[in-house]
Amino acid sequence: MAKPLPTEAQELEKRRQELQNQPSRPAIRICGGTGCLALGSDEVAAAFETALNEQGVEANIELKTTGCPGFCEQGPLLVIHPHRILYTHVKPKDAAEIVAKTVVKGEIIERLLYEDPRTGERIAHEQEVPFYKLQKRILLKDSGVIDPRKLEDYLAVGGYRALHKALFEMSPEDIIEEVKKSGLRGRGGAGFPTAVKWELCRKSPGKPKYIICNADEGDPGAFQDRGLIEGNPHSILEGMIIGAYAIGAEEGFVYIRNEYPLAVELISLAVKQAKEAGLLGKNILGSGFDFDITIQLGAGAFVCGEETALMASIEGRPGEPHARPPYPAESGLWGKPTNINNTKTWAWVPHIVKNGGDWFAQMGTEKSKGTTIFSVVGKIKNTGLVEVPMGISLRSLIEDIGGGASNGKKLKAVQTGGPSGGCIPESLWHLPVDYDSLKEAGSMMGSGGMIVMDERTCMVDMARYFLNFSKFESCGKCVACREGVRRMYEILDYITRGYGQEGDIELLEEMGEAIKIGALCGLGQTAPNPVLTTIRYFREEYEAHIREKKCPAGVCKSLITYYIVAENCPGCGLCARYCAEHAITGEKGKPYVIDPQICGRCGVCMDVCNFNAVVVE
Amino acid sequence: MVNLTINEKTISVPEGTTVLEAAQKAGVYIPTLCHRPELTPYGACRLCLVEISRNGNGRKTVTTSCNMIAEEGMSIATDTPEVVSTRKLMADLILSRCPEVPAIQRLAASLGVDKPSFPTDHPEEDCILCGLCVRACDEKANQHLLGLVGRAPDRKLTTAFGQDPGICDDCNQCIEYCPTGAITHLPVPKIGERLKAIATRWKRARQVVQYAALLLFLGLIYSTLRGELQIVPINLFSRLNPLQAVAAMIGGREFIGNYWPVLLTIAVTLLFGRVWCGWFCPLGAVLELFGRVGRVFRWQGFRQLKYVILFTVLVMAAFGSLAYLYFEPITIFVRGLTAIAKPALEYLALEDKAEFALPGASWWLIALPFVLVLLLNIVERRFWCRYLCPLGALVGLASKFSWVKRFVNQKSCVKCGECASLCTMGAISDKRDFTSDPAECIMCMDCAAPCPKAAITFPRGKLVSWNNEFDPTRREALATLGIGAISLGLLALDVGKVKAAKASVLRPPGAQSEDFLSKCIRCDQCIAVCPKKALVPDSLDGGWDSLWTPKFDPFSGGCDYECNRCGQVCPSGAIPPLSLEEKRKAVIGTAQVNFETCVRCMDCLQYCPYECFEEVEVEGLRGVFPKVKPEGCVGCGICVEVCPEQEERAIVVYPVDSVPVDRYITHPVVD
Ligand SMILES: Cc1cc2nc3c(=O)[nH]c(=O)nc-3n(C[C@H](O)[C@H](O)[C@H](O)COP(=O)(O)O)c2cc1C
Repeated sequence: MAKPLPTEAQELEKRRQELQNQPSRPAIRICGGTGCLALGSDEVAAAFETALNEQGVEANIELKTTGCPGFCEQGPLLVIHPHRILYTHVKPKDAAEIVAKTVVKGEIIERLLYEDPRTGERIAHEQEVPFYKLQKRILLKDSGVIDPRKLEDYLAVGGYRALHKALFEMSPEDIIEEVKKSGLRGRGGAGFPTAVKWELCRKSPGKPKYIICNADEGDPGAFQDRGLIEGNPHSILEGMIIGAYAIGAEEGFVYIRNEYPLAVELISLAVKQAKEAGLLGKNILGSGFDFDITIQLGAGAFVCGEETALMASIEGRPGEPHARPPYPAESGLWGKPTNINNTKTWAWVPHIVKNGGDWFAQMGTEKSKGTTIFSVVGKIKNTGLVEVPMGISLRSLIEDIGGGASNGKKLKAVQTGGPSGGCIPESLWHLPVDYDSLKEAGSMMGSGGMIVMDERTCMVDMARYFLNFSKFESCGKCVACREGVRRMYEILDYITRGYGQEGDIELLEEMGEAIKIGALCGLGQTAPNPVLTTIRYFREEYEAHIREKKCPAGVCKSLITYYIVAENCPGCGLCARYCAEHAITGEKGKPYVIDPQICGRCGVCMDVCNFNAVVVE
Repeated sequence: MVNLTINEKTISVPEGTTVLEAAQKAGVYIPTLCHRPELTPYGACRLCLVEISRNGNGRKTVTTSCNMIAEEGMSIATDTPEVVSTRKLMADLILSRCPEVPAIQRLAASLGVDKPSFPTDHPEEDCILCGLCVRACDEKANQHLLGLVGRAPDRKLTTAFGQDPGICDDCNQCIEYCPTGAITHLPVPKIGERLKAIATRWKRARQVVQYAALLLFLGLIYSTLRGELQIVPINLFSRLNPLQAVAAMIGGREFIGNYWPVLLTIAVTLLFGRVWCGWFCPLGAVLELFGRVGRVFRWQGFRQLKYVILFTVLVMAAFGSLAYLYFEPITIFVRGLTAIAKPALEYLALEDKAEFALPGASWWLIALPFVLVLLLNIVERRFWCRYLCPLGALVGLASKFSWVKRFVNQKSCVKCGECASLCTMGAISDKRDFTSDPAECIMCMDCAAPCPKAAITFPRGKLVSWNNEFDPTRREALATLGIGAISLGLLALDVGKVKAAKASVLRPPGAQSEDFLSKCIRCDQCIAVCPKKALVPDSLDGGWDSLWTPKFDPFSGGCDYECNRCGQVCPSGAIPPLSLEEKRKAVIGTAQVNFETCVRCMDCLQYCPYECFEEVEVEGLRGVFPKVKPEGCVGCGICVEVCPEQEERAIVVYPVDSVPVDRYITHPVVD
């Protein structure tokens, strides 16, 4: 490259050098992600500010509010660098003590450390916690480290290096070639090869071209995109700018739901900063390439995550999908060639450009490369955001990283892919996590939500729950989805209420298959999955509901009764105190009884009983 | 051009053709519901699913054909088991929303769904959210007023913010496209309301006219019975009546100017069709009040019977007999009312109720047709009008040439059958796309407002409309010939002594007995108006041909010297409209005193307004007797009326030329 770099680019590099040359100071990093925020991390941060001031050490140490490091279960989270001492469940009142002991004296406060539930051992450093140890954090590496409000932080960790490389050292074709080599597949669910999509869009005639970042993330239990945006918004912008350059797009949209206020705030701020820094707008870094990004708020409809519906929504029409072809690459936003990718897909781009496609391709499996982010929730100990290489087994993900069952119950299945995915029974947890094996098992990768269920989860009820979601989220355009899903829901609802009939299972299967074929968009085509997979793997639970009118998991309220086993009940009366319906009566010291007539079947008695005296049947 | 195969048939179509269009071109049927060729494909109903595999890769996908553009080398299968069963479920799901909509029922049935599998909870769900109306509004009307809002559970059709779109120009294209007809029944938006309001207004107007006509008719009958002739011609409904007019003119072989109002009826009929029956006929108004609507009676083909009756009436008229005007509706109604009301009024007027004498059986008989017509109405509403009425047949025939006709927009009609089930005439045929024979439709307009598709209008139609459901055919002509021949035979053979009757029966003043039967329309208004009950309906005395014609019966009462009303009310001129002076001179017959039974009270002599009695002595008998002077007597029968009642009254009025020869020799009494 003989051409001299434009001054804008040189200046950015100079600025980066300066930032990187600053001596690294010790820092307190408090998670400011939505999860920890809900647990009061903003108050913790304020308490620290006061404590540092009061103890006069504010100059020695930096206080940073970061994005989500992922270990949401243990929030509010606090990490003290450089040693990465991890404190969990931090309260504002702990601030003074932490400053006094750990910051000033370097002592570790045992009480606030994470305790490994399996060994009972307390672990001092973040990197030693099994939850983190088994992960391979690339996309999330900087979440929890940098302050998402500061462009400088991102520059300091090498941000926008890839953009520099792309603009000045590579041609658009080179970039696409590199992405192709990496084997990156879309992280939005379907796993379509990203490079193929880009190439199609690039070659498609028509101007202007658009790109879209799909950050709608509507499935219940998924929050990876949110975590990523809240942790490292600039990485997404960088990916989009590179992508736009590769595709030849002039304008980009980030479609993000309004229910993510923090993420919206941070990504908007990042766009503003990038514009000010000449990273967006006309003549980016003096390269002559123009590109701008608009933040488009969505109203929180699941179906608006579907690409054609999303584009309709951006155009100001109702968020309803239409048939493809034409694909967005040929005729997308306002009929122009458009490329749409998931947030995580975009976030990968800088890494691939920086490190090369081969680097990426060496991670993961034959057909599914790289790492992927899951939000693992449900009946496990360590719920949160995890990033793992493709191909890790479900068991390792759930039991090792997730820490196994949260309450000593037996885990029985995991729902992947949210309402569009399926349920994978414990017996299949040896399966590797990748696009194709999950599909094989009747489920799908989806955008990476994972809900773990234990033996106290009724699979029929679970399927009903997801169908209820799909029923409400269906846009209602096509008959298959609007009517079909609703009817399947009605049948499931009947079954859970004890009105199931012989033949219902077969009817559900038949309908499910027809709706999968017949629906217009992905929502309807996948909505029957939870039902079909639970029937496939837990048919006996359905049969118990229908034939014996029993719910084996003890969940479906119409089919269960709670009672107290007299031999086990010491008569402590705890259950009676918790019972909202006053259905439990008895005398202290003698076994209590539950009146099934009054009992609301909430199960709180069972949860509070310390003697396993309450049983459900 | 692109080449593709559909069900193994290779076809080449221009670029940009959809798979559906290609299949249609190849003659392969693919069911559709939310698709119309002139609107943008939408892909919502999922009925047009087909299996597609593309060149090279063996992957098969099932997608909608309406919005899939045909590509080179595509191979399409339209009826794989997968496709068929999926379509079937979709049809089932759609039908379960609106199980009562016939158009959907038929479509579902064609896909193997006879009964919906799922329960339905809302009638609003007749709207299947296919979006045709929205697209019609966007693309055809260019108005962009309609939209489907809400996600699946509460998705509905609405206008912006659910408000009445002030700018809607009522083009109603949306209604035309609605496949279920739900669009005009939705709570919001109110579509087609203005159309409905107009249709309802017309119906109301018709009802007002119809009941006003009925009231007028009843009022006229009342004043006829009271003998009060008022400004409105008392025989208005007869004189408006084309059947009476034509029959009387043919029968009487003369032009009867009195019938000039018929021209109005003919004009109205040629303009608006069979409105006579729906808007004006008082009998129709009564028959419309009860009975089952729609088609109930199995043998609808009998509707053509009314043509046979009509033709027979006319043929018989040509041969000089109006006997079949027994079947004329206005006369049926007049007779029916007269039979009941006349004795009733008489009873009310009496001071001493004990004096009242019920009329005999022959009197009540004149109401028989009216009673039968009412009874038949129980079988089907307007049974009479549908199957029998010759007047209806006549205006019906004319209606086939009327300017305005009922019209069903077939593009819009969803064959819901609502109109047919409401039709008081049962004129609407479910077998003929709910059109109606103009001769059967009485333009009552009951069907327009309830039509969910606003598909029924009454525009200018084809001027000549033949090949309708119940056109008269050769069969009717033959039947007419048959009945006509038999009737004429009966007349010619003089069965029931018709010929003698013509001569033997006394007729109202001024009536010429030779042609009376070919002019009298048997309306019996003369009988109704006669103040003295001098006119009575003939039973079979004058032969069957003379049934219910007015007969002058002096035993019942004499012809009032001060009255000429029978001639005033007679519409056909069978009783000429004589002035009082003329009537007094009109000869009905001649009275003769039977000296053997005469009690010589001399009341006759005293009461005879003509002073045509003289006192005589009779050879062989003692005393002075009254005797009719032949020059002055017109046979008014007042002498009979006053002649004291006994086994055989002493005075009889005879037809002029059949006065028996006096057996006695008399001498005027000389003072
Ligand atoms: C009902 C439905 C919801 C979806 N929601 C999302 C979403 O929230 N985020 C997303 O990235 N993709 C979502 N998708 C997938 C998108 O349609 C599209 O495939 C994706 O954005 C493409 O990006 P990728 O190639 O990076 O995966 C959804 C698809 C369907 C059918």
